[in-house]
Amino acid sequence: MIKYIFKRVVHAAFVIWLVATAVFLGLRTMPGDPARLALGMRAPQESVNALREDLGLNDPIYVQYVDYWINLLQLDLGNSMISGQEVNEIILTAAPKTLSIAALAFVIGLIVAVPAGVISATNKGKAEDYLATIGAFLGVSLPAFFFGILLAVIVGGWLQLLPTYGYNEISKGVIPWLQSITLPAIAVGIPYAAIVMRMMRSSLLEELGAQYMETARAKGIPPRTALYKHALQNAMIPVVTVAGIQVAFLLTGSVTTELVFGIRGLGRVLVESILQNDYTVVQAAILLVAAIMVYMNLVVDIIYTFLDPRIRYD
Amino acid sequence: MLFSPTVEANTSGNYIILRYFLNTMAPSDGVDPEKLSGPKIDRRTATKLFAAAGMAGFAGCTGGDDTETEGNGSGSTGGNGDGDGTSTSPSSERYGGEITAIWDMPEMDDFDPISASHGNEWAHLVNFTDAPLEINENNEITGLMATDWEVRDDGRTWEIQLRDDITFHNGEPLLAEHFEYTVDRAQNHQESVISGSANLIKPAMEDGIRAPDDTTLIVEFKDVVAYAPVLFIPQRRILTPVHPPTMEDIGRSEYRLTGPGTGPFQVVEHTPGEEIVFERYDNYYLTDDDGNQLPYLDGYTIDLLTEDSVQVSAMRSGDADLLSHAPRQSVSSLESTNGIQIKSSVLSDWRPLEWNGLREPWGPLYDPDVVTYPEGEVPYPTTADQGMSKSQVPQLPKGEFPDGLHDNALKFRKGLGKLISQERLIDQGMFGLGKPAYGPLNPEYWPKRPTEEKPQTQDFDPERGRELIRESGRDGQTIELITRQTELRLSRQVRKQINEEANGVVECELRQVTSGTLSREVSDNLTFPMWLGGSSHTWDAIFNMWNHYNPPDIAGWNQSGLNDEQVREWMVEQSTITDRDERADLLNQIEDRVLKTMAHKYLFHGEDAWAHSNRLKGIRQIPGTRHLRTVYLDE
Repeated sequence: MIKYIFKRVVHAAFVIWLVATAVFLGLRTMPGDPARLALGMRAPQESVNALREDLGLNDPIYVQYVDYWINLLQLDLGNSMISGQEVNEIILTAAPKTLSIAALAFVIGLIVAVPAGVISATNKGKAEDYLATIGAFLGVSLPAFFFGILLAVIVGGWLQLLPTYGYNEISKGVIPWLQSITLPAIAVGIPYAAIVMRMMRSSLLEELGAQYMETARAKGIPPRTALYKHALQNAMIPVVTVAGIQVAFLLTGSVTTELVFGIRGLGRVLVESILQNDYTVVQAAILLVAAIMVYMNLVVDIIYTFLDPRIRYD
Repeated sequence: MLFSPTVEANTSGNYIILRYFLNTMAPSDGVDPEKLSGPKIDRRTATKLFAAAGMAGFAGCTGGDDTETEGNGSGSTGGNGDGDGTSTSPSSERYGGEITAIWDMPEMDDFDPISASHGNEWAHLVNFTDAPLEINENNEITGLMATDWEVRDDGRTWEIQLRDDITFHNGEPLLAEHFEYTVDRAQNHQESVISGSANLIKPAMEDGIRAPDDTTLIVEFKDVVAYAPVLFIPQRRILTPVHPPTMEDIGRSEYRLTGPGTGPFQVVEHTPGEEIVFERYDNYYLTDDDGNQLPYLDGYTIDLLTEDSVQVSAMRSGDADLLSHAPRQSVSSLESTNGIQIKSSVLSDWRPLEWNGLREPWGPLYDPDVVTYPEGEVPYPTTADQGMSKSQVPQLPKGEFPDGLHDNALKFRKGLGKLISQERLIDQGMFGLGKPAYGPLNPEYWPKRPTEEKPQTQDFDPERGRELIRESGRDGQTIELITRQTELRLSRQVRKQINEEANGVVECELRQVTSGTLSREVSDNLTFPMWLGGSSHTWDAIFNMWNHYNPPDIAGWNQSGLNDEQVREWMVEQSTITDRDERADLLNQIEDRVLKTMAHKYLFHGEDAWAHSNRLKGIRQIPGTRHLRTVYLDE
């Protein structure tokens, strides 16, 4: 097991290096001059040239690359080329927002998806099943930001139950914090729930039709016990896998949803910095998202081996 | 004395403002210069002068009758704001409350004024930092930090008396010497975006700016600058004082986030890219008409949001009280929402279809009498990959233009311009917000020349347009318009109109690019084909022309490639003319010349629309500015 985990960690580190290098090179081939964008289209050329020099943009690309890695290994992500703010600070301010939304969306998604999947599977062909299936279909088909806009207009605008934009730090109180992330989390959680629910339903249907369930019923085990103790337990294995891997979906969903709710999480930081060619911030944000993805995949792989001992990786 | 301060009262007699008067009192004017020297002036004189002077010539707008009034010359007040005329609450009961304002920008990190490069920042800057003079609701220049000023040496030297009760937000007193440091940075700091204007003043290190004592400031210009007072307002950011010890102590990166400034509100918390919390500055020096200290609000929070839908939702839900710029497409729906008001005013800016005069089929835009080229040589790049740095432009060889090249290019530009209807564009591309433009000078602003008196090169006449394009011999071409996402709707309308009206003589294609690509093609390499360029709202007509019509080597915003020595001479000349009528004539002449060269197809003058909740009262409506110092809550 330790050898397996070690291999996976090395693999993860390689992926992160690859991502960091691709982002570094990719950004520098993008059109546009960060110095010009920082100072505005109408800033004097002399000011732009001076800023380019200051930012090290006139150095050869390999010099910039080596500097980048030396700083990165020291956890020094540099300063924003546009605002001059420390990138560490930008990321540490933005990441909790995205992670808060993603975490709540994860909880909401599972709370909705698992019961809905079970109800749908155990009532196959009935109204409940159709309702849940149509709901899941819509959830998968429509993007998170669309739900976000609907929620902002209806719940925030018309009903005025929750704020339409902004984020409250948890330090200002749990309730204000929850209020500020509830709508974005629901918006991100709906598509996530839809995917997990569909997996739950199909997996449970498969288990309910399995031979060991026939045997259980023949032995007179009460249907409820058979469902929860036998079928559901087995059906959860693929659901856990999908739920884990789809955490990536929550993060990408947060990117667009943050724009809808005016929250400056990783998504909004990423979009703004890409548009402004703010290399240092883009590099850091993408690296962080990539690291989270890699880490989640690693965790899922490891958990999976515990859930299903038949799986061997060597 | 060419310029003189004066004090005048409003109709109620208790509203004292300081005004400046530019020299229009040549003997033929029938105005006795002596009348301008003292601290009082009769309204007849004011009317006569402001007919030609002041920012927009709103002569005597604040005067109520012909009665001679006088003030004590001791300084200005904050005024009352134009308000909505609906509240009758005494000013002493206006204190308290906080509001949330949404500012339409991703970041506002330029509380170090030298690098504030965005109009939205200037609009807010007046709440954070002051300057010797300011623009009031009637578009006149009045005293703010200055109690008095005198102009000498034919307008080259300004001696300004400052109030002695001004402090920075850190409690330190403002001293005249702080302006030396401020102007030096504006002139010489490598990230200064205002060095062009700041350098009209003699170098600070060579006594261009002096402080004989704590409250006397002497500003010496290199030459006469007819629009000098405009350089002394907060929005121009040249004389918005920074506190030298604090700047040295905390550094520019911190200063630009927090200040301190000298305005009515101070920054208490700044989360970059998200929000800025402002608090009332208790030691602010201005009072209202009743002598109550300003500002009224306890504070406000700015949320930095650029997404239109979020902005509108926030206003509708009541989560925000003020929206700095209402999205065009949402103005009417916001207006019809209960509890929300829209304020709007036409700006002095202009937006044109700007073509690349260095490329076919639009170019050349050079005046053949001045800049000419060897026969047979096409003196400009003809494909997008032949990029040219602006600094190369004046180094092009001189000689003769190839026969007909200049005429044909002019015909093509004229023809193309005639395919576009300004009215239709505003209606369909701008949701009706804007005023048709037929030249760079908006007739609603000084020098206020009616459209009918301008050369008629900008009219919509598709039939003649097609004819001209055919005559140019450049018909059948496909021309490209580049745009960024924020201008997409407008650009689509331009393309649509050209293609609909051209009937095949020319075809327009649209290419959407990122801001990075746009700035590279437009500002750096001059490889763009056509784009929607334009100027910002400014406080003197010349600012709408200087950086666009001077030759590309000295005009940072001249993307069309216009290089007309006559225009250049006139622009330099007008800066030194202190007679407003004479100066207006020359500005109009420049506009005539530019219109004849068809450097742009002028589309519209912008409309400054913003939204606020009904509970906000006391708003001073000044185009391009969002004053909060007289705002109060009427719950």
